[in-house]
Amino acid sequence: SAIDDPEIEKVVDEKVEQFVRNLENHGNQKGQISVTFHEKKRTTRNAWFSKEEDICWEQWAVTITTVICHTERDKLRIRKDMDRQLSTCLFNIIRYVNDKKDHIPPITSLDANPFPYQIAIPPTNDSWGSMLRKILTDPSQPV
Amino acid sequence: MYDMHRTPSNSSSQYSASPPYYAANQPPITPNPPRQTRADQIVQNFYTKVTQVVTHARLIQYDSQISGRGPQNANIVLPSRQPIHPRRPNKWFNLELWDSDVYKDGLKSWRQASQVSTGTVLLPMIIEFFLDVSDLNQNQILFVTDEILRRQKVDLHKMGGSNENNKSSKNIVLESWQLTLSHPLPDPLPELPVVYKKSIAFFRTLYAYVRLLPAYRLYRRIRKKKLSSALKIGYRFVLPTSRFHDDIGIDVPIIEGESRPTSADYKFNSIDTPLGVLSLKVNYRTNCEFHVDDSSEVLIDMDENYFTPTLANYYQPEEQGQREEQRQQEKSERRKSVPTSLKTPPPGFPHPGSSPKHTNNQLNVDIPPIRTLSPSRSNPEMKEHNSSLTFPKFYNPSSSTNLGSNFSRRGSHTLEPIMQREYSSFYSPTGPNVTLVKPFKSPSLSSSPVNHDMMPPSPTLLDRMSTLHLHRSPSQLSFQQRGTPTMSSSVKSTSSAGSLPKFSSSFTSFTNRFDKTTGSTTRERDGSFSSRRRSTNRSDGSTSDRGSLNSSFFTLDPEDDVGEFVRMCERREPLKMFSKSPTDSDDADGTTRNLSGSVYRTQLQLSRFQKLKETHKNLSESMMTGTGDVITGSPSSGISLRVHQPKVDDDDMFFTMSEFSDDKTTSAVNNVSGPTPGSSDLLVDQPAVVDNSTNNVTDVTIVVNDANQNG
Repeated sequence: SAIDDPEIEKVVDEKVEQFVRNLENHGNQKGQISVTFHEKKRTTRNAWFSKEEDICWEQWAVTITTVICHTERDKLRIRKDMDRQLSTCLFNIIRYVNDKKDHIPPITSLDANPFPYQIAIPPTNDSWGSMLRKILTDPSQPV
Repeated sequence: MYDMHRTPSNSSSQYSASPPYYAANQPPITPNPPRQTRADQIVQNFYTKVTQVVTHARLIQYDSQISGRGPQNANIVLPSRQPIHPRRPNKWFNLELWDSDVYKDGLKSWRQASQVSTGTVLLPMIIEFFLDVSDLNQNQILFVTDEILRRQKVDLHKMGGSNENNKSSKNIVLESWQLTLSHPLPDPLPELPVVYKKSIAFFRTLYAYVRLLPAYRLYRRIRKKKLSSALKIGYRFVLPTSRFHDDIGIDVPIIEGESRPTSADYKFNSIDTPLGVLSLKVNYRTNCEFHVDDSSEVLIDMDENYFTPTLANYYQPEEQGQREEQRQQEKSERRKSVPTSLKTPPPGFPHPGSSPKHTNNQLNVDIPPIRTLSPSRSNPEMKEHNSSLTFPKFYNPSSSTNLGSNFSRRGSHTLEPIMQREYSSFYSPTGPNVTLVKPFKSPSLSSSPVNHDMMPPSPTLLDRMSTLHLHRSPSQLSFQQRGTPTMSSSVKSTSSAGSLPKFSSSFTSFTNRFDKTTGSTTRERDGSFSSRRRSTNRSDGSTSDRGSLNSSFFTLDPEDDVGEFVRMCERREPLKMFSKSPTDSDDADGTTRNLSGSVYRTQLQLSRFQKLKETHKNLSESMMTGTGDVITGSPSSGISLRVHQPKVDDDDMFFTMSEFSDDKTTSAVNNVSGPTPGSSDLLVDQPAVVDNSTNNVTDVTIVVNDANQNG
């Protein structure tokens, strides 16, 4: 369950490719990619009148900055830094998930991914704030 | 209250029941057992799952010992009475893993111990992973790589343990995982669906975390090697009754001098359950970079990175000063390690004559074509400036300015056994490359023999023959001993004061500026070598075609350090020492520190060399006129060398002396034609090489023949 899920891998690969293309087109500076988790909820308990809404209950934002290296030495140094930063980032993710579990909606299925999720690449002009606002107000619309 | 009296045989079947399915507000779908049992089930499976996840990422035998049989055996009726258990994945906590036999026994004994020892509280489950070196045989040595990428030998017998006589190898503990169920019970008691949901998130973080720890890399390495690896990761459940005194604990440092702490720990957030609070923590060793090497591959007393460019030095810019020091130290060590006496040349090596006369001023090497420097001619300074021929190939371009310092003060150094080995490798009986080169090859300067894998033969030794092929191709280098004078040129970075311009220099590639006639030669390769050389053998060889030999001497492989250096020299950038602005060269750090002193000194030297240049120009002209007399100007520094050049039939003797150029980065190549039969003298003045980092002025050596000396 979710360890080697090919579906997730496919989605991730596609999105990452898109991200890289985006980054290259916009001058290779800084890129952002976000992963959000949603939940479909009913507004009222009354099945007759409730509307189904899609609420985003968690959002992860990753910012990647590219560095152009001119010398071999720089490249090695940057690579080492990158390794270290990636490890730190993963450790942080683990820490956040461990800390905050209360907000997770009840899990009702045995699926690998019980929650609908979205991987989004905001256009470069957007800031995280504006993107988040967009998501929160109208989560059903892809960013 | 937790019921401890479950028999082990029942427990496994019960605990591998499918996990509960909780709909949002509905009771579990599975038959509704009492709440206590359900919680109990969750907790027990929690323990199992932790064991599974952790051992799955550390033990290579996990996959081979998966419980049950594969589906392909389902149709086979086995004669045995044992029931066939089909493979079933353990899907608890939304994380699917196969059950494995690898941990079953340990888990069982832990459960038994728990039942026996305490009444109410479950024993903490402690799983330890250790490095098992019992399989290492006599020839294998354990190494650990430290944070600056040096390998250090690990002597297990000396470490830890009170039992000095115990010869068995000790285990090195890598990680220790501890899962506890603690009281008091949380208040209010959590709902099971919430517990389950949080456990799901917990196990996903655990799965990721166990693969981020240092021991995971070790596991991956071992897994890749499979059968050939002598290292194993062993595991054990630590019970109160077990004693592992002899093992090397996590906190015990394996090697000294590491700045980072030996161990670290991490505590996962606890999960409240109706039965108590589950918490997992791990204590791990931060350095798990263990390797095994055969002892035959290990050179005694030799730093593994001896011959490789010290990239590690570039990793921590904040320790640049320390690195510089280290590099200097390494260089000084290399200097001392130049083999000075090769007693037994390889079989294929022509050895027409050896020069028994060794002075302090040169390498004490038996070089067939090389005669000793005649002491009478030596300047006092010459005595101080020992020099040796070096092969530019082995020169680390990044430390080019240090080369001069490498040339200095050879004196009589003892030959290191390692160096000798290096030598022998260069002189393969099959490869004629290096015939003469021996003595002049200074391995100390070879920054990257590993990378280049080249013929040592390098450019430094110049055959007086026309066939001076300095390629990397094996067949080309033919230093024939036709007698005498093989002049070799100065070091790359330094321009020797070319007193007698007719000698070709191996470092001619730097003299592009003089290469007006042949154009850009740096990119040319072997093929055109001889033709170009011929073109340089003109009587008026002083200024033209000096650079013609350039490229042949060096394979201008883009990846080659040497090629890069050659290119850099050709660019003829002003020396950093002359410009006050730090540039981003490799030596910028060195130069910027010593700018004031070095600038002054270099200015001084520059003027001196310019004077020498003038002198040498005059000399070369006089040579051209065929007098054959060489008069040495009196250089203020440097070694005067005389070389005798017999007349050569086909081509002129082809030596080019590198001439000190204005910017000190290129060296001119002068052609020398042998005017007299018998011998001719070559006078070479070697300008000092400015070593930016050390601010020493050192001289470059030139091979010298003494023979008859004119003038």
